[in-house]
Amino acid sequence: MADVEEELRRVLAERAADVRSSLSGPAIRARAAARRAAVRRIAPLVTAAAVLLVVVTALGLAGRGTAPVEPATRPVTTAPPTPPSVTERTTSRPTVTSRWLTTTTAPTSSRFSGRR
Amino acid sequence: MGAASFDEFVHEHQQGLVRYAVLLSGSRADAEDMVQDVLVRVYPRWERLTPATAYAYVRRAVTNEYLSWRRRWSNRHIRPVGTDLPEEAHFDPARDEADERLWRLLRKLPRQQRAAVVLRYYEDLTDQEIAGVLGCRVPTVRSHVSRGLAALRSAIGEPERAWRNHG
Repeated sequence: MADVEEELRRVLAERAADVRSSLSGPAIRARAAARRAAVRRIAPLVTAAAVLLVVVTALGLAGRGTAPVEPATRPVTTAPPTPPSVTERTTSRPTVTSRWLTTTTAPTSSRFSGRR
Repeated sequence: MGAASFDEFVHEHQQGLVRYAVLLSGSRADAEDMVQDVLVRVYPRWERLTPATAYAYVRRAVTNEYLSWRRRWSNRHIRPVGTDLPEEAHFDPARDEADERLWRLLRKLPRQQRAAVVLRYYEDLTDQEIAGVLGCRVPTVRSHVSRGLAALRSAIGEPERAWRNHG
């Protein structure tokens, strides 16, 4: 296994050793400066478009009036009654089963008494 | 760290970074393009980097660039002009056949596996360090390296059993 890993290391090192590059710091800095200048040129346009979008959205929402507020108030008024209903359901389950048990046992006992 | 230190960094490390990128991308033109794009993006943030971490930071950025969907998409939409591209010139056609086959197989590996294999066997990083570069967990790195090697073993002619003990 070690031989294979060494083989892979050798091939990668040989391939890498063949590569000659000619990147230079000043050239990259110049390109970065040009890119930044382009971004600065576009930035006001992008900002204006974003502001316009926000204004249009706000106006659109304001034009609909107070309708979106109403659904938000509804759950507040309806929320308090819901917790008791949940607790009632959980507490009523054992009583329902106990009733079922008593009603099933009652006819059998009457049948026995009838046969007798 | 100012412009002078950036120039010094590029002068000192550009060869190593482009070589690493060639092993990832398989093409010198792509590699130079990738490293240049990364350095252009890194330069505005250069003041925040320290000399000790700059190389690791740029190498990670190059890896991310190689793995990014944006570059994959742009590469997919480039039509090759011909087979005698300049970047192919540095590959010796008379090279050993087994080495050529290994190199071709390496280029066919999924990107994550290939990056893990190159980081392990070219950059000599540990599993922990590779996990830091790739942004994944250590077991995932082991899995990538193991699967990558398993795919390459046919080129080297190693029996499958020998690879199972890797890790």
